[in-house]
Amino acid sequence: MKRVKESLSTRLSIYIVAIVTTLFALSFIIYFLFAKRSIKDAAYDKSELELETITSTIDEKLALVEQSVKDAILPVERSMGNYDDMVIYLENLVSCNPIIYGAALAFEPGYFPDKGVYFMPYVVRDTLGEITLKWHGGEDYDYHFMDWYLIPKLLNKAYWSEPYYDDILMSTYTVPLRDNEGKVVGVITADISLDWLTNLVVNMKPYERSYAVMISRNGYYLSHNDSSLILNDTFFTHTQGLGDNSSHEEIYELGRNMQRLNSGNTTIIIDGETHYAFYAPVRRAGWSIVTASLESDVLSSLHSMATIVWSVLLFGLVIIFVFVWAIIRRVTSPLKKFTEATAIIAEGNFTTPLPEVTTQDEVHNLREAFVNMQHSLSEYIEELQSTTKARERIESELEIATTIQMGMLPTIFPPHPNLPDIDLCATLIPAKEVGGDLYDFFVRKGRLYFTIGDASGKGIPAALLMAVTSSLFRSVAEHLDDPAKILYSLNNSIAETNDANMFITLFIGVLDIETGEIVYASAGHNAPVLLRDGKATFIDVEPALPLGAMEGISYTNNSITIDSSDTLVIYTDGLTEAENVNKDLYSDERLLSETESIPAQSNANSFVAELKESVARFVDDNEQSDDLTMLVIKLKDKITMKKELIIKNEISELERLTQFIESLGDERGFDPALVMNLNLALEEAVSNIILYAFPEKMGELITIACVDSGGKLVFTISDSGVEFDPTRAEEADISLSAEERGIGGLGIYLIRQIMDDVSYQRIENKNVLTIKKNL
Amino acid sequence: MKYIKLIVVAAISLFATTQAVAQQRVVFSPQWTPQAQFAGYYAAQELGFYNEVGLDVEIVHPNKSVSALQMLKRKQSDFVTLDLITAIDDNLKGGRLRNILQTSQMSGFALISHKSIDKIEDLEGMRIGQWRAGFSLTAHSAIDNQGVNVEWIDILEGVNVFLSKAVDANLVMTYNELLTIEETGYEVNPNQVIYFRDVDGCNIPEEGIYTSSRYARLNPETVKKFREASIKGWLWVRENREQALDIVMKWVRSEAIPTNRLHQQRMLEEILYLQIGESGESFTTLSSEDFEQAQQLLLNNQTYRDTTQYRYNLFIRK
Repeated sequence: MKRVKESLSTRLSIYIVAIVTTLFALSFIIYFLFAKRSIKDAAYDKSELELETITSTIDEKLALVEQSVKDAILPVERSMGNYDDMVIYLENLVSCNPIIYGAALAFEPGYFPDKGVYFMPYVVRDTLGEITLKWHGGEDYDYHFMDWYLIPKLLNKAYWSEPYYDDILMSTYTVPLRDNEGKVVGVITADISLDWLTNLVVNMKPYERSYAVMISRNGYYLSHNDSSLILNDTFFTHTQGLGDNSSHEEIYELGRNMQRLNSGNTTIIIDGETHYAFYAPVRRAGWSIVTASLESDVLSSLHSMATIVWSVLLFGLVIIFVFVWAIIRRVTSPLKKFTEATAIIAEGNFTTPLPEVTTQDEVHNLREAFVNMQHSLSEYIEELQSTTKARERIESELEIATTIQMGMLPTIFPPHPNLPDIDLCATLIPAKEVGGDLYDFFVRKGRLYFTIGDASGKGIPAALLMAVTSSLFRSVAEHLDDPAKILYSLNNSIAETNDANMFITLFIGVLDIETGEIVYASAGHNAPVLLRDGKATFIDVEPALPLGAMEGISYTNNSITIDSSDTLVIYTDGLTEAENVNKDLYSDERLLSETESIPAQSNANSFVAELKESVARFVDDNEQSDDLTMLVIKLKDKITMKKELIIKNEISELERLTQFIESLGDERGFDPALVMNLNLALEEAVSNIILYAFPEKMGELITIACVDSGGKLVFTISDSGVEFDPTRAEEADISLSAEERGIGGLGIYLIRQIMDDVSYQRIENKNVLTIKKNL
Repeated sequence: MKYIKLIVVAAISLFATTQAVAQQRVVFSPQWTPQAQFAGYYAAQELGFYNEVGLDVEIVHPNKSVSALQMLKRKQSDFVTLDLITAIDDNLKGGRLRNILQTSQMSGFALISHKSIDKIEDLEGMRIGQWRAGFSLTAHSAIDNQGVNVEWIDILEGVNVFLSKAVDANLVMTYNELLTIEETGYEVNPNQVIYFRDVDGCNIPEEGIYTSSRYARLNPETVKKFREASIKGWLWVRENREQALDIVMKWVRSEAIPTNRLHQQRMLEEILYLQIGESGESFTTLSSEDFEQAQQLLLNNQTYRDTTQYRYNLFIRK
């Protein structure tokens, strides 16, 4: 079945053959039914005619007998009592009518007193054809009670007796003889043999296997193929014995109709075979003849015709099927090849040859379309390949550009370990590979120069503008202190060569580390946020055009002063205009509230981290649409004191360290115990450096700086020796003896015991150890 | 299987026959031409039940001129079957019949009319066919007792007279003529038939086996053997109806009786019904009540020279 469904040619062929078959079958059935009816009608006519012929033949003969007997009555009555004459008339009756087998006169008991109870002359034709007279009647043969005598006498009319056997099958025709008063005094009879009649009926065969039976008035068989049934069985006893697959009701009804001397036809089933039965009576004697013909016989010609027609049809259908199948297959075979070719094309082989089509039909058009498709496909793919290559190249270049761009930004925080007053952190997250945002800062002459900017657009053009601006800022800020002037200079430089009509917003600030005063100017940049006393506000910014818009624009400075409790957040619009999936903006309001929620004592680093986290929470899964840049500046506690000592890497120099600390203690009025402890810790730390930092080297310098920052003594010991982080050394196991303990372990333990905080950094190829003591 | 059984039984009986040195020859005459009414005797003979008890039974049917009773009287037969009425009638006339077995337990005698008849009175003025050979006494008695006048027409046999409507009604046997009438396609309505077994005082049992008093006296053992073997024959027929019909049909064909198997089958069913009856009893010795009822019926309707009642005990031989 699967194959049939798959093959168009087989399927179509089956459809066509099915339709043809249906049409033909319908017309044949109609024809067959009409033909059957007319054949049946013809059969009825034929059987009717044959039956009519036979019944009229029989009737004629019986009529002849009846007439002959009636003709004999008058002479017999006239010669009543003249026995010889009566016998002569009787003999004449037989001799003149060959069909009459015997004839008798029979009288009532003692009608002729001289003849006694019985008087019955009987003339019979013997086997040789001789006519002989017999005298019947007597105690052994009391004819008065016999059917042929009794019934017509009682009925007082002529009567054909029920056929009976008396050597041969016969029937007796009896006419009553009456006296002058009309009383029955005797009868005259004629016997006829029924053998000829039996033959006549049995031989009636309208069709090959037809058969005919004749039944008597009382239903007994008079004629039947099976002669053993004659007079033994009635039509009803016999047919009752037919098999179950016979139409008993119809057969019974047929018998009753025959007994009623009707004529007609009916259809009956005998042992599963349908028969057409035609019946007609022989009224004179009360007999009835039925012929039964097998339907299959009657319709045999029709059936053989049907067989031939169906055979021809079957042959024709096979031929139609083969033809249609072949034609459709021929038409559709290129389709199969096209399917194969398409599969190959789908694998990427666009130049695979297509099947040749010689016709100019739809399949040819299909091929043309296929050829065009092949060309378009290969062109498209070529283009796609070169585009992909170009993109790959740009992408790799962009990667490099990103690296370069990020390299331009200062990334070490805190940027100036030797500027302990400033806490600063910045971040830049580009939306694409290269961004248009920038930030920068540097320290010059006790001032922190910082800037943040946002070039218009994104990607490479913005990045280029940002790079230009960044380097310009560095070079201009080298010799200009005033942010407004720096902006003015930058604007002129950018606008002069700004053919691309790009611009960049920029915020520049200069922080005086000593005073905490910030002088700043903005070129169309977002106003930074100041967090002071738990309250976030935008600082005042003079409205101005961004850089690159036009030459000769002057900018205005503003200033604020911050202290160590303030936090300044400078950012680009990538922060306030960050979008979530619902296209909501992060907004200025959110920035302020989020900033207020961050603890004021957080350092710059964690401040930046908190803000980044806040943006990430808001944006959620949405793609970042713009560069996000933040710069957080805090001022540390005021430094009230600063001292520095530089010694050589010699043990003898430790004396100088001791003097340095004692003088520090004197100056600040420290408790002698604190001075001693400080001395102990510092000696321990510095002696370690002297002993181990410069193997085999002499004359190297060790710097010891001390500042008092907000009630805290901070010692910074830096050397350019071998990298060594004493804080990572194993904590000393003080349960061991001094000899057993490794280098440094005990020293750092001692320092930690005395001091409040110890930290190590490797900065610019220097070991920087910072130890703090709260005052 | 049934044929194998028949063959085995036949073989055994043949063996028995050759073994028995002295078989007593007995002639038996049923009261009518061959038909299923006598199936039990045919079977007893065919299967050797008679031979088994040392009897060589020849079955000789009566003919139109000589009845079974006449054959017994002429000593042409040793045993005959007769209707109870016929037998008692004969004895009342001076005959000396002995009933050795009563097979029928109730009357199979009936009357059929073309018109429907609810009661005997409806027969008034009708022409009624009766057998010339007899058997009509019960009907006469029943009709005469109701003071109904009918014209009796003697016929020889068969149903042609009735079917030709030469008579209005006809006496019939439920096991023979009534069935034949139906078989000719005549549709019998129940209210066309009077069953005498349903009429008071008319349910006289019919067939029994009889012998002469002389024969019974001289051959008491033979009487007993014939009785027992005949019972055995009937009992076999009850259990083997189809095979019994085969045997009946052989008799029917050999005597060229115009009949058919279906008719004989229906006859056998009715005969067996009459033997068993509604009481469920069978082959009892004739009861004295039945005997007296039959004798009374005769004495009331016939004129006898000697009206001395016959004695039941004399009538019965077991």
